[in-house]
Amino acid sequence: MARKNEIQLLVDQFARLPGLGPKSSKRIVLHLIKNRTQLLEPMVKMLENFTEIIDHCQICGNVTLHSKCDICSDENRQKNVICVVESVIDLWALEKTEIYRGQYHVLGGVLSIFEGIGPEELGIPQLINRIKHEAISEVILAMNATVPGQSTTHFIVEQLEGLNIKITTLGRGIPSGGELDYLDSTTITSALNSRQEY
Amino acid sequence: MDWHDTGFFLSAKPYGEHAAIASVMTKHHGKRSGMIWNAKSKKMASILTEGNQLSIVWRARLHELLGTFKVELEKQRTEIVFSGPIALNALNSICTLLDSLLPQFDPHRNLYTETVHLLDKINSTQNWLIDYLEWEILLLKEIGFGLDLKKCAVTNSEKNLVYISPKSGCAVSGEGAGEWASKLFPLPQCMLSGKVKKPEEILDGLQITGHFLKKGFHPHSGLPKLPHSRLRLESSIRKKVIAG
Repeated sequence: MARKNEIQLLVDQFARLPGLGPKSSKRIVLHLIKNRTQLLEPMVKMLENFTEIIDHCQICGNVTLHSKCDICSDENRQKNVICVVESVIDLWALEKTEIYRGQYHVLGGVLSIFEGIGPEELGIPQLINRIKHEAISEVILAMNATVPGQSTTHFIVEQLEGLNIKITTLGRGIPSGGELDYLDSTTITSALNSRQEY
Repeated sequence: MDWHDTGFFLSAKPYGEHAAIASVMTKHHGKRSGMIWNAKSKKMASILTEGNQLSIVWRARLHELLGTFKVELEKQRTEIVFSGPIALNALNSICTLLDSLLPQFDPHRNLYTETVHLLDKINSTQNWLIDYLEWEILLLKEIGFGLDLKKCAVTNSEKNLVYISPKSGCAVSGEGAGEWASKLFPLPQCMLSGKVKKPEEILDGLQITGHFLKKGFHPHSGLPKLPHSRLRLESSIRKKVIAG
């Protein structure tokens, strides 16, 4: 009986992960039990290692196994441009493009009154401090096109006033595979305003 | 039980992984909250944007229960989100003030109509600052702190109304103010005429409405000051006025 409860506890733990419910968790647990040597044991070892050493980069807030992440340690990347993103997942999305070769700053969220997230919780003072003390010439504000995202953008712009640096935001337009008929008027207006010569 | 109504989105508090407890301002049912189960989906994320006009179906077993919302987009007001800090702060301020100050289940038909009109005006990037000030005056009236700007509280005169009492919210004429003039707010003439001669008048007006809105906040939330979004709106307008 005790054995069954422990398995149930493990199922419950998996069910707490994003995207997983009790049924999927049961299937995962049973699959891990079935593939003990190939999956379960290496996973346990890896998670144990991660628990000890995983941390946030002291400079940019990215997740890392060291005090400084790979991006901040890379000497070949541009040091004078910072791209400000809401979360690590946004950083990964930008890195996937392999176009941007500058630095990052992960806020870890956006300003939200209802969730009680203020500038201090987001590490905006650290960002301002970083911009002031490093030779930064451009800040790219890559926040999501949502009300909290844009409010955070305006707040950061206000904080950066008087620092004599170039502040840019991401362009808005038609996504690849998008059809004009399905787009909202604001997106079409932005796309028209930022049209390019063919 | 169910009802169908039109309204605009105010806010949503996350509930679990996929759901949210949303707050909407409806035409016939006032401010209402309800559960939206798939609130975190990509489709819903663009629909559940502050100020968006929605078609709302509410369902629950009993009238008093939280219930669930099924929403469809009627009109997007995304232009507000991208047309600069003042418009965005105004949108945040409108939604926060309505969400914080209005009681549930209480229809405010006039306030709803005026808010929709104001949101459309901000969305079309027309000159809307005086409309916002008038909207706050209306909001004060709806929550029981209405200003009386028709006649002087001391002399009953309808002329030379140049002050407003910070206690009663009544207008006071130059003659009626007497030695109390220094303790009264100067009354911006745009609050009487609806026409703005100098942009500073809007700021003075917002300071007055802000003073009375604080009274609305205090008993309910215990917060003696205005929400950040409202303060940020005032400061962004001040910056614009200073910049000319």
